[in-house]
Amino acid sequence: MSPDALNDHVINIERAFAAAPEAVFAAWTERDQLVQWYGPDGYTVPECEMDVRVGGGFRICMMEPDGTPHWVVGKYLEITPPEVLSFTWAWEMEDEVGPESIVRLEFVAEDGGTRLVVSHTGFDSLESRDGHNQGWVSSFESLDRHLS
Amino acid sequence: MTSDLDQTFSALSDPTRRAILARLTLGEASVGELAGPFDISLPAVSRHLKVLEAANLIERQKDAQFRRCRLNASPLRDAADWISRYQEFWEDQLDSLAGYLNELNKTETKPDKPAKPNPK
Repeated sequence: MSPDALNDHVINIERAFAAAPEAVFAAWTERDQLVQWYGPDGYTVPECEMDVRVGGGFRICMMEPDGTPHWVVGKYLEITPPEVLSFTWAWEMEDEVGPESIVRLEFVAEDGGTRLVVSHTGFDSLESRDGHNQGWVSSFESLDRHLS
Repeated sequence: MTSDLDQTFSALSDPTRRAILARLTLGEASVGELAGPFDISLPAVSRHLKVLEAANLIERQKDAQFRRCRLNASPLRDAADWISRYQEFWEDQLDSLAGYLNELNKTETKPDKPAKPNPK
């Protein structure tokens, strides 16, 4: 993978949580927990299917307070508890699935809590996904280390 | 719209092309002027310009002998919109997660039932 891959990480957000990585990871990977918080403030999760294994899919409905549903679908690409969770991401709109992008979460133990790093990548990184994702991810990491 | 966005991000995924766009924010330039700062051949620069042109990020004069390049910023705006929408979404999403984890902490540190008294 070329250094161009660095640019694929178009969104990077970090947040510190006062909970251990295991707990934060579980909030993303256990259905009973996820439905309690997923979506922006005020949203509810009336429906949620998730098959948490590499290659498994999820389909989650985030409902606005006024009842407008927003479905997101994806597949799990990497599951390394409690460190990394990565999945594809696409909005479902009227029987049509929008463009896929990739979300990667890193759970970093820090000061007794967790620093969560969210990267949401652009679309072109998908070309290298199929069959190559693990290699892509690890080569990206080594590239990152090399450059830092 | 969606495939346009694909093309925009794809075109932006190269440091040379980003540098070319950055140069063009200062004004029009010829291919030779654009190639100047880069340690690559003119044909290589030309290939990059084709990608940028296909993504509608630059316009090239059609007839002039020296086809000068000009930045077309509107696809960049779409890309920036995509980024800011998701930025906001993830900030909101993490607010929700923080709220949930705080509640979880409270219920764990302050259980409804008092701890078992020591049997004695």
